[in-house]
Amino acid sequence: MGLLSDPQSRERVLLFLIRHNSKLCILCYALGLVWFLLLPLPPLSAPTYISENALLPGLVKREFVGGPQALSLSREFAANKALVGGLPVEWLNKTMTSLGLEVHTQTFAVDLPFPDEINERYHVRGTNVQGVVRARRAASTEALVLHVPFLPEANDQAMGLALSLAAHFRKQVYWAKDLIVLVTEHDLLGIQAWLGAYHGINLTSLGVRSSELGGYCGALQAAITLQLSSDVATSIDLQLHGPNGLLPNLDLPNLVHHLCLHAKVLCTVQELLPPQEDNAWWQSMHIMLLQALGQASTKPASEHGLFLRHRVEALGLKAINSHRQEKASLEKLGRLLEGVFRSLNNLLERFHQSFFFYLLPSLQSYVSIGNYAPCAAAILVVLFLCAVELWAKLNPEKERRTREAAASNPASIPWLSVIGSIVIAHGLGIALYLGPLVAHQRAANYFDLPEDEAVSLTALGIGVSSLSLPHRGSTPQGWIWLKLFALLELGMLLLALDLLNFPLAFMLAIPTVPAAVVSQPSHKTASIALLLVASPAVISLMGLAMKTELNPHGPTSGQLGGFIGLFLRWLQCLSQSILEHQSLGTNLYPLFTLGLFPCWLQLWHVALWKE
Amino acid sequence: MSGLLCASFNFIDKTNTIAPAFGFRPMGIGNETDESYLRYASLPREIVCTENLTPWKKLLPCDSKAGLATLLAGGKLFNSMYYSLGLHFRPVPMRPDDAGWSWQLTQTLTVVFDGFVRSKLTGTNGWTLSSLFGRPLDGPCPIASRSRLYVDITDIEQAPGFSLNPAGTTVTEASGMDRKYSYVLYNLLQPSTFAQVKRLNPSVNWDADWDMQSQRPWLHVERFLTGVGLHHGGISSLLHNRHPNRSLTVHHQDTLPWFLRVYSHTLTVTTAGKANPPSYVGYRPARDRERPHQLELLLTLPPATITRVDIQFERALLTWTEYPPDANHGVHICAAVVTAVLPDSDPCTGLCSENSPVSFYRPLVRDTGHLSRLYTQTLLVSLPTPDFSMPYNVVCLTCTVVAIGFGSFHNILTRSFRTRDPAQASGIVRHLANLIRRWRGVPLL
Amino acid sequence: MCQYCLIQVCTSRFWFNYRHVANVLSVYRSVKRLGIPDSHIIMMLADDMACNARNPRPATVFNNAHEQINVYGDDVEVDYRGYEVTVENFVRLLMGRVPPNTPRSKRLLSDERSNILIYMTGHGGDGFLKFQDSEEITNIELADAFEQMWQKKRYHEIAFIMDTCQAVSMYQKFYSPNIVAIASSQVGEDSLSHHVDSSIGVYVIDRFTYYLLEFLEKIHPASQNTMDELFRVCPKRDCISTPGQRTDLFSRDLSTVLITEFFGSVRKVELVTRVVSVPSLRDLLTTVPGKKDDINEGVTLSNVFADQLPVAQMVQKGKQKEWHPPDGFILAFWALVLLVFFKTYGMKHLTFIF
Repeated sequence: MGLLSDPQSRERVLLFLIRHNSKLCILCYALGLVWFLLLPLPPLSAPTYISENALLPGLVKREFVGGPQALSLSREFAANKALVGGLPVEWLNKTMTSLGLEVHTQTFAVDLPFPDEINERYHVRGTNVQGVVRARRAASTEALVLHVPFLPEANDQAMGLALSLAAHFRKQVYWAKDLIVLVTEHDLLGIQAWLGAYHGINLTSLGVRSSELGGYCGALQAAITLQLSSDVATSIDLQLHGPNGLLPNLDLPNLVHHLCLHAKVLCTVQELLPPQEDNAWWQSMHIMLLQALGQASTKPASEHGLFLRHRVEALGLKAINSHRQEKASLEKLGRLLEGVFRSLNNLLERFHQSFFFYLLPSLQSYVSIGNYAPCAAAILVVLFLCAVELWAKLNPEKERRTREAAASNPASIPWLSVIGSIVIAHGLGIALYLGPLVAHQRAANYFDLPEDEAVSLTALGIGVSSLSLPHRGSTPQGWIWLKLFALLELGMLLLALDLLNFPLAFMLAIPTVPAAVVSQPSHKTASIALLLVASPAVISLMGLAMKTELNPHGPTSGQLGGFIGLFLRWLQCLSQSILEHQSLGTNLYPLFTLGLFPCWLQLWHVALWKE
Repeated sequence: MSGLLCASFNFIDKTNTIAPAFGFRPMGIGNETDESYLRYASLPREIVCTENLTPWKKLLPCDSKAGLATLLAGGKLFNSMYYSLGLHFRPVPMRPDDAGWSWQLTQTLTVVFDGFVRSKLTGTNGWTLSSLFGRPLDGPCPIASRSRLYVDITDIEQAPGFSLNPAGTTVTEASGMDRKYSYVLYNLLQPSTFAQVKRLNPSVNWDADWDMQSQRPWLHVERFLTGVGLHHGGISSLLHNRHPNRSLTVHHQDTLPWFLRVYSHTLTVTTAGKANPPSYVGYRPARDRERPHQLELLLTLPPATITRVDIQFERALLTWTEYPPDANHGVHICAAVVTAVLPDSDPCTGLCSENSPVSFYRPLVRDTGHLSRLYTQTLLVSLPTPDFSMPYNVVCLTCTVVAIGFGSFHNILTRSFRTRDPAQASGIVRHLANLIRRWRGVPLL
Repeated sequence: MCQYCLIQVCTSRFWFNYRHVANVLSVYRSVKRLGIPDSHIIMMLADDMACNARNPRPATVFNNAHEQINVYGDDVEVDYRGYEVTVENFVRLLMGRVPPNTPRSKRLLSDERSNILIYMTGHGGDGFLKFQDSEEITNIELADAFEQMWQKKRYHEIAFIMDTCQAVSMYQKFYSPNIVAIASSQVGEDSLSHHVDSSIGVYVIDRFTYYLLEFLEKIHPASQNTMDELFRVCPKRDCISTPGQRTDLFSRDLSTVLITEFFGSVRKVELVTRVVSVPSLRDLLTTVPGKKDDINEGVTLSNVFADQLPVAQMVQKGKQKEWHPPDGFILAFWALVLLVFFKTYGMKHLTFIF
């Protein structure tokens, strides 16, 4: 650290940085990109293994023979579902009691801020049913959850399988943790209501009114969410990420993968086949990009994600029935789940051995945080290098002063225009955050629009109007101060985000870093072009386009109406992100409006700086 | 005691012992109600197994060789839903009118078998003594003065297809206002019990499709942890009063370890959404590593309501040697004790009431009602743990970074540096510097 | 005082280490069969497997997938269990320096004529044995403990058997006389488990102990088998690891030392021809009522049972609130303090603070 205290060596380092600044910036940026592209290959990705010795996967003999019972229960459930027209609470209650479970129901009510067009709900009322298999000789201090979300048109076989498994588990004496079979309504809202009532805490911005929950079973150790809509399945897809980019402990997907190999059931992730030898790099990259996009969208992959926020390791299992030859019957899937739960039962300590931050290029290999962190660090260092150069320009020392003798006289900071710009940018960010919620009612009435469109168009309106603010500055060099501040703010924001949600930070950094570095009044066209590409709106649009393109089983972009379709879906995504932020507590919308947009607007001011 | 019963009583020390003011009263005779001698401690993570049952059995006069104790085989007993061993020691009067007194040792064993699994497996509803305990009774303990087997048939007497073989003496007890309890008594010391059958194996049967509706008890307590994360949290107790028209006065006692920093100002008691302030709050805060938190409340539970007691806490960091070997499992919090005097018509198998056949070990209460002491669930609290695999590495690294990095940054930010020309050094310093320069071979000052 | 003592230590915790507990209990069972009573056996089990909620056969521990013998049995005495199995407790036990209120069953009551058999199992490494995943005992500490025992004349001969990975390293540093040591694997080798019981779902026994037990099953109290046969109990083809032994510290020739000198115990029985009359138990019991003991001498108790829930008393106590000064008073007090402070030190110090 003598380097930092010695003024002469400091000066030498500074000179080096200034002289080679653009080369260093380009080098670091390229390094970050290339590093990311090399992640799926060894040695950056390592083969997966189970770190927790206590799991003992597959050692115990599976005894589940309830396949026919599962099938008949799923038929009964489907029939009762059609009869009642929703979740058949009475039938579930009666069936679970006859199987020997302790049944509790919870009714909940949530009022969304505006109607949700995709799921067609506004004021949500629902019931969650929970059946508990108490552990015999344990003190109900820990519990495992088998979660079956209620879907109006699907998931009958999952219900049947879960009930049949519960019946089998009830007769066994080897449980050290209670088992909760949980049926929730209204997908994410129902499970959020249950988790909030169970843990006595509300992590969302909405008030959830719920009845008193019964049947507490202690701390939840792990949860599995099951989605199964066919009598046989060809593969099991693991759904990993939760809200805000959270991931379950790597031991849990490794455990399920190990047991699938044992049972000879195909196990996939991101609904893609495991990478083959001939095309390994692109296929691994495809899987990894899908995971990164999923985490970057901050939306949970399935209902299991909401458990992750409460520090309960959870995994979503979705059974897929495609045209492959080998089919797994309900009994085989039941044995697989039995193996998973018996391994989870063996645990004494909560999951802590394996990684919590990772990227999976496939189920056979993983990239740990130590291996992927350098790419984000390399790209973000560019911002700080540029900031160093700007700072040096503002505070020239003796040697540099001689070169810019005329133009120097750094004078004082043009406080008014710089502070004014900063304040206006942040104020507009807050307006963009609060505006749609506050003003959508008025906009809907005035413009005669459906509510959620009103929301997204209000947001769009505020955003576009903010571009046209005047940019008159007082001094010709004043923009340097503003750019310095904006660079540092952007750097700190992305660095902090990098620690929480790496894919989101990386994907934001790729367009914004060049735009931030290039934007100057002297390079007006280039900076405006780059800034437009890096604007929050266009970034999210491109993200959506990438997701549509990479999605292996969804409709192609052509089928969805080309560019116009993309734009309309983007508007819907805008209102959905506001809704999810309010009802689930995801952070994409506040990040974009309160974090990214002010930085971007400041850089926009810099680019259009007029003396 | 720990050596005698193979239990870890040596872990009871001042960090988990409290002196409850009102929660526990002596159960024997005597007018000593000086609380300063009363101590209460519990070890929530202890396991009860055969090594505890064996010395317990050895305290019986016939050991497990004869009499009722022959039924107590570990394999069947520990394969149940709940089991509990107890030793109670108290002074009792010899006879109601005699001034003399002596010590009484009562040994209790409570086992709850799983009726559901039993009925599904065998196909009929019913049980026999050998299906529960693995063997029938051969005879009484010869040195016992009383050896009796009671079968409580109150709930199943009216079931269709009810049968009980072999027949014993039926005893009907009236207890309280509206409930009668019926037992069938087998007196093992009477020769007639073993006259017909060589081994006594009572079997009870009833029709498979009859649903036994046992009444739920009036008082029920549930306790659970709230909160998310490893910093803050809360403990909530739900006290259910299921009696339709009587309110119950209960005493709730809690012992919390010192490393859960409890905030007593967050204690709230609500009933059906409205505040229900307790009549007495006795709170003794913890001292780090010396004594635990002690909280005693006297609550009035209105009829047919659920009362909720909440308190918030923050977790403290322990020194890394204080963590248990399985630190990522968590620490167990002892059960809370809820004491209440319940009205006599309480449906809890009738064995609790004063006039019941097993009342001789219960303390006599002068009010109408009997004492009921409920223990809630134990809780498992996760603690924030350090990285045990390399604690010294972490300490060294952080200390190095703080000492070197922070120091330098602080200097740069708060001081300005000016270079000093070494030629301006004063006499002796220049002399010394020249010595070193001559040795190095560089130009002198 | 035990002339033939056994100390058994299982140092691992968690369900997946079932086999270590099965190892210890199997040796316990064999040794009890050969005559050593519970009072001469110290058993340290770091975790409970028999009544573990995960055990599909409660209150049993099996060492074989055929599940024929329940090595836990009905008459087991565990002296140190759970968190009590620590390096400190083990070393204190060996040296006899236990806390004053330790019960007899937790002490090693040996003297200079005692033959002690020590059996340890768990997870080990080169020069150490892990205790419960959180601490270790090194071979040097163990050697020093044995030397202290020798200096304090706490043993005559010690047989030390160790079934862990790299077990040989644990006896390499011994320097006290009369110790024979047998270890299940060499340095750099792992000691492997034998087989899985798939209905319980764990490995049930380690290889070395499995073959050791097979050998011990053939021993009876009058056997003439000698200690050196123990060295050949598990050849490399069965154990996969290479067992090691150390005999240089032992004074006698091991081919003359019987196995029952460590694994069994000969109890001295004295036949008496004198007749002793014992009063019948019934007589003893009926003479008690009304009689006051020495310990109860002078203590009179009234025939009154205490009020179990003294509600009135509690309500009375609840009404007595502790006195606090009124809130306004506290506010005024602090305002006075601040005023005095700033008056004394002057306003310029305000700028210093802010």
